Order: sequence, then C-alpha cells, then structure tokens
Amino acid sequence: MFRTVAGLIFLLFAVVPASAQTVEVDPRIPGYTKARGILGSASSIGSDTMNNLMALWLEGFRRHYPNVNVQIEGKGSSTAPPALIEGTAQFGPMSRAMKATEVDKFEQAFGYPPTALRTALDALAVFVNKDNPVKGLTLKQVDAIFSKTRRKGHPKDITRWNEVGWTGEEASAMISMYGRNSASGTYGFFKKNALSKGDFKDEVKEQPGSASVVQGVAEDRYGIGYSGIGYKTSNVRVVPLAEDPEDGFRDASMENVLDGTYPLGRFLFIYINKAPGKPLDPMVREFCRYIFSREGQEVIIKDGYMPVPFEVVKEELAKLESSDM
Amino acid sequence: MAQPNDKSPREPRTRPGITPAARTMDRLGRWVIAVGGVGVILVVLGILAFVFRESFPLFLSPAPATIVNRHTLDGSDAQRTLAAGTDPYREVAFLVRPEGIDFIRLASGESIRRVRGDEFQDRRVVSVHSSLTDGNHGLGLSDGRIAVAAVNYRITYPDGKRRVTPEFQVNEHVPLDVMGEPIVQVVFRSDGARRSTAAGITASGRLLVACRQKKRGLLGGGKLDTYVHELTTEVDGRPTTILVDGNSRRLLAGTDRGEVYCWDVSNAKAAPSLIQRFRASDLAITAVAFLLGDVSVAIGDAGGRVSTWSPVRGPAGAGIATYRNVHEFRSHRTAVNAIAPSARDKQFLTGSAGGHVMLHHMTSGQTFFELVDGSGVADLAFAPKADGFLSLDAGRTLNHYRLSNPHPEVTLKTLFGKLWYEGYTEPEYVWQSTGGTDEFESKLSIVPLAYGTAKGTFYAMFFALPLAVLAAIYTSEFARPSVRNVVKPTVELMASLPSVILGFLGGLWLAPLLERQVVGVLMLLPTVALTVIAASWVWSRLPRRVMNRLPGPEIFYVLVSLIGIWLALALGPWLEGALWGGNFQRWLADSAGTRYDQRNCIVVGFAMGFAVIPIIYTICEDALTSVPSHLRAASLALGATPWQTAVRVVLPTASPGIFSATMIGFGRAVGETMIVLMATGNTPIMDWSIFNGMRTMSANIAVEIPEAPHEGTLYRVLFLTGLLLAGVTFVVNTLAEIVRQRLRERYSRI
Repeated sequence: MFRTVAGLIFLLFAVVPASAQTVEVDPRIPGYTKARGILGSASSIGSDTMNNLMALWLEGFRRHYPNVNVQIEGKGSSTAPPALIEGTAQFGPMSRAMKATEVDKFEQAFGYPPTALRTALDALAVFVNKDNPVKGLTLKQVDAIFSKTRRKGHPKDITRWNEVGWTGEEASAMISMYGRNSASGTYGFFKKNALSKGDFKDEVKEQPGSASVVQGVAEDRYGIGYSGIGYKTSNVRVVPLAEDPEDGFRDASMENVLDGTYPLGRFLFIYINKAPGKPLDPMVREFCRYIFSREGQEVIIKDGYMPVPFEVVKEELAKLESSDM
Repeated sequence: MAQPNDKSPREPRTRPGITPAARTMDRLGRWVIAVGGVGVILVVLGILAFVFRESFPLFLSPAPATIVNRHTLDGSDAQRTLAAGTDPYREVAFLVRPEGIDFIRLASGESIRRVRGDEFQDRRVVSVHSSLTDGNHGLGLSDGRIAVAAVNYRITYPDGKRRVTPEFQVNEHVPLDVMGEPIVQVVFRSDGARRSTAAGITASGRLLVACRQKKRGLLGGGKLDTYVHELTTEVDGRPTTILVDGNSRRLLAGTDRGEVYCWDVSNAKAAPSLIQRFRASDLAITAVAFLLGDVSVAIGDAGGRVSTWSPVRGPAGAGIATYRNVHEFRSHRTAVNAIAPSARDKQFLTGSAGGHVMLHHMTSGQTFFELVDGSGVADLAFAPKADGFLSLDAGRTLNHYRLSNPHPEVTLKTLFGKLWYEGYTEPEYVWQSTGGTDEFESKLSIVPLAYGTAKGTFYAMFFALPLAVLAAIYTSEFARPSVRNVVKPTVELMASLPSVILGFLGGLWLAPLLERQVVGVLMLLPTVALTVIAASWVWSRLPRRVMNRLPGPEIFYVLVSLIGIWLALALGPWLEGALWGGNFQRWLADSAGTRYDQRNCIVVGFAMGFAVIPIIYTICEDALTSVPSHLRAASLALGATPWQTAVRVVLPTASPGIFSATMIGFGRAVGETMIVLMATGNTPIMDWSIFNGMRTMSANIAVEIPEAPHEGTLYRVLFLTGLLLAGVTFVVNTLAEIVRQRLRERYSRI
C-alpha cells in the first residue's frame, strides 16, 4: 500500500514539471480530413533525430489508412539525399537544410530541385550529466569545448570543467565530449552554428545515433554532448545557452526558439521529390497533409519537439498543391 | 604424393576395387571443387577490381575546360563590358556595362533584357563586385556612390520545362564619397540581416569604407545607420584592390607596393582598427578575393604570382589570427587581372593580362590547367554550380566554358601528407570529411585512420596473443584431458558471439565500469600473477595427505585467480588514494597530460581480444596437439621435464601453426569493424596512449559510407581505404605464408 502511494506521489512530481511548460499546437491549424482510396507502401530514409517522429506520424497515419505501409530508416540526415536521388525513398527527413551540392546532385538526376517541408521545430540541446552543476554556457564556451579552430573567438581552449564554472575539487576533471557522426544533420547544424563552421576536436567521440550520445553523457559524469531535444532523458540535463552573455542564459523552450533567443533552434525538414507541374503521389501527399494537420502537429509535442506556427503550415501546404514550383 | 606426375593419370582405372560409380563421383567432385575454387578466386579478384575502379578516378586529372560558345559584345571602348555572371543552369548571363545591365541567353547570345532606367541616367558604372553567395552586386558609380543591386533568377516550370527569368533590382544607393569621385574599385557585402559594409577606392586613390548597421527593431525593421570612414592616410602607397568578408568583420586592401592591410570593421561606429599589415608580394597587388567561406584570401600580383593566405593563430592557438602564406600556385607571368572563387568548394580561377586562365584548388595546392583565352582577361565568373565559367576577354568577347573537376581535393599529398588547413596553426594530419555546409574544407587524411587501425590491432593483439597462446600450451601440454575437453569447446563457443554484442557490451557496460576501476584493472596482471605464484608455492609445500583430498589443481588455480582478481579490485581504490590522490584520471590529465577517455583502448583490447582469442587459441591448440607424440615421448624418456619438453621440443615443432594462428588473429583484428565502432568513440586522434580511443579504417567506412554521395569524393576515398585494407591483409598474409613455409621446412626434419 505504502509503495503504491509513494509511487503515485513520485509520478505526480515527475509529471507536474513536464506539464508546467506546456507547448500547444496553434489552434488555427485544422484537423486532418480523411481522403479516399489511399494505400500502398513507401519508405523514408534520413535523419536519426526524426526517427521516432516519423514512426509516430506513421502510427497516426495508419489509423486512418490501415493499408499503408512505410518503412523508416534513420541513420543520419546525409543519407536522405542519396536515397531520394536513387529513388529508394519517397521521404527524406533531414534535421538540417540540404547543402547546395546535394541539391545539385538531385537536379542532375531529375532536372528540378527537391521540395523542402518544414515539419517541426527543434531546439538542438547541449546535454551534461545530471550531476553536473554548470548553470549555463555561452556559445563561445561551447565552441571552445568542442572545436579546435574556435571560430567564435574564445581566447583559449577549454578542456576542464572548472573553466566553465563548475567549482570544487572534482571540477578539474577533463571534459569528455560526445557528438554525432558526420552523416548526421545534427552534426552539420552544430558545426555550422555552434562552431561557426569550424572543425571538431579529434577527441569528440562520434556516436552512431542521438540516443547513444545521450546514453554516453548519462553514463559519463564529465560528459557533454548534443542532440535534438526529443532525446532528453532523466539522466541528463539540458544546459541553458547564451549567444551573447549579456542577454542571459536561455532554456531550450518553445518560446525561446520561436523568438530566436535560444541560439540553436532549427527546423526539422522532410524533403520530397515533387516534379513541378505534376500532382504528387496521393499517398505521399496525404502523409504530408497529415503531418501538417492538428493531429500530426500534436504528435510532435508527444515526441518532445515543437510544432510549427500556422503561417509555416499554410506555406508548406501550398507547396504540396502548387503546380509550377 | 612422393612421386607425382610419373604415372599416368588414368592409373586409378586399372586399380582394383573401385566401382565406376565411385569414379564418376570422384570426377564430379574434382570438377565441383575446381569450379568452386576458381570461382572464389574470380570473385575475390572481381571485388578487388570493382573497389579499384571505384577509387581510381580520384587520381585522374580533370579534362581541361571546353569552350561552349563565344559571343562578341558590341559597343565602343567607352562601353566596354565590366563584368559578367550566369544563372545556376548557365542559360542566362548578365553583363555589367557602364550604362546598365544586359541579360543575354548564353546559348544564342540574343539579348533578353536591358536595364537602363533612372539608376544609370547620368552616372556610369565604373566598377563591379559580385558577392559569391547571395546575388548581391556592388556597382561603383561615377559620382562617388555605390549602387547595391540584386540579381536573382526566378526558376519556374511551366509545362514541366524549366524557365529561367532574370530579375534585377537596385535596392539602394550608398553615398560613399562626398567629393563625388568615381569609385574605381568597389566591394559590397551584407550578412543578410543587420550588418553590411560597402567600400571603395576612388579615382584619385582614396580608400573609403561605409559600415552600416541596422538596429534591431521590434517588428523586423529598424533604423539603418551608415558610418563612413576614410582610411587613405593609413596606407603607404596607393590602394589597388579591396575586400570585405560577409559578416563585416574584416576589410582588406592591397596596394601598389605589394602590401596588404587588414582592418577590423566589426564595430560600425568606431574607426576601423588596423590588425595586420603584411607584404604579400614585391610587386603591385592586382587582384584579391575571398575563397568560399570568407576565411582564406587569394592574392594575385602584377608579376602573375598567385598565392593564398589563411588566418593563423599564434603558437598553441593563442592571440588574434593573422594572415600567413599557405599555398603558392603556378605563376601567370603577366599581371593577374581577375580571381573568381567557386561557390561549391575551394577552387578558384585566375585570369591574366596575358590572356591565360588557370584553375587552382587551395587545400591541395594544385593548379589543374592553363588555357589561352584571347588577348587579356578582364573578368572571370564561376558558374554557381561550379560546372562552368565565363571569361570576358578585354571586354569584347564573352567566352563560356564547361568544366568538370569532380575530385579537386584529392592528391596523394592530401591523403597521406600533412596539410595546412584553414584556421589551423600548423600543417596536420586530419580526418574530418564533411560539414553541414558547402564552405567546409574536406580533410581527408588517411593517416589518422591507418594509425587508428594499427593502434586498435596492437592493443587487441597485446591482450589476446599471450592469453590465447599460453592457454593453448596449457591445455595441450599440461592440463588433464578432462579439463581440455571442457575448456576447448567453451573457448570455441566464444567465437560464436556476434561482434555487435561484444561492441555493445564493451561500450555501454564495460567502459563505465572500467572508468570506476581503472587502477584495479591495471593491477590485475601483477596481483593475479603474484597470487598464483604464491599459491603454487603453498601447493608444493602441502603434505601429500592434504593434497590428495583436495580437488584437482585446475579448480584450485581458478579459485586462486579469482582471489587475485578480487585482491586487485579491492586494492585498486586504496592504491589510487595513496598514490594518485584518489583520482587516477585527474592525475593522468594533470601530470602526464593524457586524457582519460571512457571509451579507450583497454575496453577495445578486452572486447576485441574476446573476438580474437578463440581463433588464435583453437588453431594453436590444434597445432600443438598434432605434434607427433613420439617426439614428446622421446624427450620425456631422455629425462626432460614436461616444461622443458613443451618449450624446447613441442613449441618449436608447432611454431608454423602458432605463427599462422597469430596471423589469422591479426587479420581478424585489422578488419574488425563493429567492436571498434561501438566500443570506441571513433576519435581520429594520433596518440598511442592506452587511455584514449581511435578511429579505424574499417569503422570509418561503416560510419561514413551511408552518407557518402554515390561517386562523390568521400565515396571514392572510402573505397580507397577499403583497397588499402585489402592490400595490407594481402601483404601480411603473403609474408606470413612465406615465413610459415620456412618454419615448416626447418622443423619438418625433427
């Protein structure tokens, strides 16, 4: 009896802080309306960050269309362009925008560029072990921890925790960095925005997935790593970040991402192959429409990411219908 | 066997007792085996040929640019075209002329649009600067102003066919020179949001810069402030060329005395502060350009010299980065008139007054080709997709070239040599193949990967070889058959564990455990050895009565070893406290300067050792047991102890087998992928320390092949590493076979 009560209390405490900062789908986004005669199979190859998200969307989508089958593979955003070009995938989820060279390759194959859909918002989070007391980091410090080129201009290299505000004897421990492998869009985005296109140190441990980054930091008391906010677990802590130290540290919350004060906010994309002037495959179109429906956007919150504003939804839905883009 | 070939091959037919059916089976078997064997060889050769074919194009030099078409441009000398550019598909070109902008179709040369209008009525365009990435053009006008113009191409697909519609718009005028002199050299760059900088050199050689800053407004807008600074007096000699980076941080100006000045313009209000003044040449500087990424600068001088300069920090990465000469390229011998960087990589074109065009690549320091293009190059422009370029010959002809150089960044030197990359303090071996942007300078040195492979193999063998070989000697020479019958299958069972599981256990279970008990684990070797020796001494002193009652020595030794392990793990923390102030890792970092990484070589040694031990053990054990028993019996009969027999007789006789076992184990360790992939951090460092990780060639291939675009540079380089691995294995195996044959010959006489 006592145990159940204690469990209940624990559950209450665990749930309350999570619901304290509620994220809601823009009420102007309409619910999904079912189309008729949708069936078939497709596959999605790309971002690891969006792996769960794709799976959840598919789950919701299949509730409307049980005869639809989509295979989801998520090894990293950089795997999406080759898959789209070779036609092995109809959906290319990417956690960064395509590079110009990737678009070039696509155009070489099809004669028109791929269509990018901004499906969700993510705050790329910097994680530390849950026992790490560091209050916050400036982007310059993050750069000096992860990068050997220090393009952000921090005067010296940072290798130990006592250089970034962890006090006490233990803090002289060396910082152990975890990161993603280079196939990852998160890797590319972090490199571009946190390192100002500089280079990672060779000592950054490259993990094959976001989950293993978070797992690594959870197991390593002196660890630090980065991944999409959706991979947060209770054994790691998200460090508030600041672009400009005078503005103060900002949490990776939706409002900070939307107003741009959290420095590592980004869109999560899905790239599709839409020939200009021709209608999309009905199943692909409906799946995308589902993503931009109320239900689809609610799923995003469930996975720990943030829905996009109504204006974005309107623009992206227009892309699906447009005939000359 | 003893006398082959001296009898007829049909001899079996005459032999009695062999039925025709058996003979057919025999022949069939021979055929199947022959076909299978030859097939295997063919497949292996085929794979090698394929891998070779995929990696070979890396080293092909590109075909020289081919001319697509030429267009003669009309107009008098005063109407000479100043600059040109093209859309991403090389369908439409724009020409900047003194009186306005013309758009022409590149294929036919027909004019599709002329922009004249108010902007250009009384003033003439004197100079042009085209931004590489955002379509902004700064036009230096004859009245001391700069027109900021945007050239964009709207791409539509009516009826499924691509149509390029050029759009041109003058967004604003920046009043630069209040005295109204013509701006003969101009630059305009904007970061797309809050900062932009316009700068120019006037006809009389005055150097002016307008720093502009938009205040952050609540609704996106905001007031735009312009601060004009004159820098003429800070420069010795006459400024000839000018450059600003996209974030409005640095302003560079070259002079007719061969010097380059670099100012910090990041504070719009304050007067620019001079950061560096350096001599880039003995002659006048005639052309400067930022390469893609706005980090390195290409500089050309009046004598035709072409060099690139990158900002480099002081020793140990301290201080402000200053420009240093990193690469020199083939000289034009006549003044360099134009430098055009590529918008896709670190390539750039240079054109000279003598009418030569060359293509260079910064990182690899190569010059690919030199072509003669008319009487003098006035301007060059890379096509946005870097698949062609335009050159303006003395303002009268527009030449349109096609270009294909798929792997500019790879040479033997970039793969195996030290290179000085952008922003590095010195030349280094670096593997960092991709970034999230096109500006990224690929760093494709195979050396750190080869180093990682060697390191991983070394630690795996260091751990596995003694254990496996000694265990084999023990079970074959000393253990009772009953023990051997248990141990051998158990060890062989270890080989059936998938390496993914081993890697997973190593990375996520063993690594954190090891981190808490490093000293204890390092203590294992001495403590276990000491306890076993001590126990053996006690064992030998035990009265026979007691000894007979105890179970066999094997169980005794297992117990003793367990005690040794327990002792080591118990002593570890105590020792750590006594010797290293309670934290071995910190001591290591502070005194030895070595990082302790959770995913390190001890973990890899254990995990990979686990995979290698069964192979080495089994083959060794078989080799030892197959030593003829009469040798052993003779040795023992002559009075040698079992130990002497094992070491002096059995071991040398079995040495070819042990050697093969080692080599097969070695091959397995070199090629092992999943364990290293999961149990190390894949850190491409070059450091032999046992306390940090590595990135091996095989793991690297597994990590990066899914992202490598088909037939791209990375894809081919990964195949090349595969080819190297195959080559190493081939050489090692061949050597091993030769050594084994020698050993066998030598000991077969015993």
